[in-house]
Amino acid sequence: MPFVNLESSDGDLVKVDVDVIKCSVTINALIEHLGLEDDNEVVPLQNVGTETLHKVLAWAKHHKDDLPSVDDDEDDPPRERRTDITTWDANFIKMEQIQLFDLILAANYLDISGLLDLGCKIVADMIKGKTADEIRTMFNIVNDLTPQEQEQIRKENEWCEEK
Amino acid sequence: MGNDFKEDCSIHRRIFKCTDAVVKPKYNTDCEMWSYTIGDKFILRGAQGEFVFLNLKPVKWNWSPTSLVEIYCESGRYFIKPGEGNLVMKNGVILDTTARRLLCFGAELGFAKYRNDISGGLAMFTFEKREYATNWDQSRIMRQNSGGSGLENSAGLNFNPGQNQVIFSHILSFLSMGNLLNARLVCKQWGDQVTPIVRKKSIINFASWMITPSLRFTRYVHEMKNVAPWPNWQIHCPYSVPAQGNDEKGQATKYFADLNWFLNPRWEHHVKTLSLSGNIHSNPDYGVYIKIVTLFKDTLEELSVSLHMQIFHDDEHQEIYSSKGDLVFKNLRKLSIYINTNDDPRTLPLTRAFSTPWMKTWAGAVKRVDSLDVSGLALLGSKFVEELLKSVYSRLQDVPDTFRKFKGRWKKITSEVAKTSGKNLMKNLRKKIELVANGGVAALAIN
Repeated sequence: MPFVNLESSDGDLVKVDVDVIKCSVTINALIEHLGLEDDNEVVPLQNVGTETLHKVLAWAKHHKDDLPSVDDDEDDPPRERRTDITTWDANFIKMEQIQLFDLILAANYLDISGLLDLGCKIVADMIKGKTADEIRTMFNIVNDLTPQEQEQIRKENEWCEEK
Repeated sequence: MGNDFKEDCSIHRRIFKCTDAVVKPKYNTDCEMWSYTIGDKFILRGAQGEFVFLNLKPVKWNWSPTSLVEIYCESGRYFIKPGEGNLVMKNGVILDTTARRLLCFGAELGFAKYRNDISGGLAMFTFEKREYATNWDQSRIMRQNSGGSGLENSAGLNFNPGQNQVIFSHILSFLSMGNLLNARLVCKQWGDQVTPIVRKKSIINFASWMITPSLRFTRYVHEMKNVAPWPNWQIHCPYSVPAQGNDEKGQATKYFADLNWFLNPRWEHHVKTLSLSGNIHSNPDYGVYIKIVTLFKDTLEELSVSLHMQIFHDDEHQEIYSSKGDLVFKNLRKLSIYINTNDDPRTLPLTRAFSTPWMKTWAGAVKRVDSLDVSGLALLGSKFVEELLKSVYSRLQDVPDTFRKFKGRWKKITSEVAKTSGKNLMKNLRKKIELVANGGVAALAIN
């Protein structure tokens, strides 16, 4: 079965090579669970809109030949998580915050670790080097901490050194 | 002192709750400093009361000595006492360093400051009731800016990385400690999710040399208690336990009294990772180490201990360190032990016989660990490994059940063993190592 039909939450059908979407643990499981055997079968994706689905597939197509990631050895000392992003990924991920949010949610729902990593790294980069005020402004978050609570957190922060 | 304090602190807090206070720089006196709130979370400390601290970071002036002033909080009132050798003025009057004085809101405090030992005049502060700025206006502005709708995605949700816990924790995993600390201050929801990560990834360092070392203990209680315990600590003992007449200024006595107070179980510390260091000149010093690790024996998961020990004294008699008792840790997975000596290695020849029965205590602590790292002076390291293998070997031989228990437990063992320890010792060790290795030790590296 080389192709599968994915149905977005908007009701659109997108035909995709199974080999391209194999990176999605969720879709693999659905195909297996639903026992899909011919090209006309449909896999419903109620949490992914058409626009986002196309972005996911674009990313999956580009990365379809990537080697699977290797889990860190438990015995190795903890390492900083790698934050490097390829040029293609950097160009791909240039989008509005709202679209980025949709893409991250989709990557999480479809269980595509590479894409989830990419989206989360980008959001982490947006947070890096910013003050709490700047972060609140960027994400439109209301500060519901009382001055006393902020004071307590600041005191605690002064104690915290990187382990 | 602190040990005699039996009364319920929460009752004291209720009865004698002090208004929060702050020490603020006055005028432009060129004294960059942090100010600390006091009152709301203070816990009375028996007769001694509670310290409040002036932290002089960044150090622009060479204040001398570093313990500038102690402000006590007791029975709902504040008192002030200058650190020894410090010139402190209250409302224009020089304070006696031997007595404490009542401190009221509005008092003007002056501290002498020096640069390159030349007087630089006075740094002026006022002791004030703490006034918190309301964040109501800020919240209102934020709401106005958001226009009530905010940025919404196709599902009608605001774009807030904190909304999905799984995704948010994934995002946080890419942030450094500094960025995580800022993220704690964004809002309650972010704080709730970021704080456990910060708690896990950070270490509380009690090894500060910038201020009187034991002030770190009281500051910690003042600022960090009443919140969930912080599990990773680093303690460096800067003093030796005072013997007769060698602690004229009483600094060591005060340090150990404060340490004793701080380690009291009533504070309910829950230490999982501990890094312990300092110089050990005598058995009482060593006893402090044993006491500290023993106090946390039920909770410690990782222990890094640096035993920098005096073996021979100037009169050539060997210091005898206690070998009584076993160290049994319930949950210890990782032990790093660094053993070195204060003695000049050149005057510690191998032919000079000395015994180290105290090592048995530490060898016994290795029982359940997954990872053991022994380092330091090779001569002492080899003695420790020898002790370790001797006790393990005897157990393996005598108790078959223990053998099975050990099997596969240790994932990694590294050690420095003296190459100069003599052929017989090395031969003997290798023989034992092989036996232990056959019993399931995955890797034992002898460098």
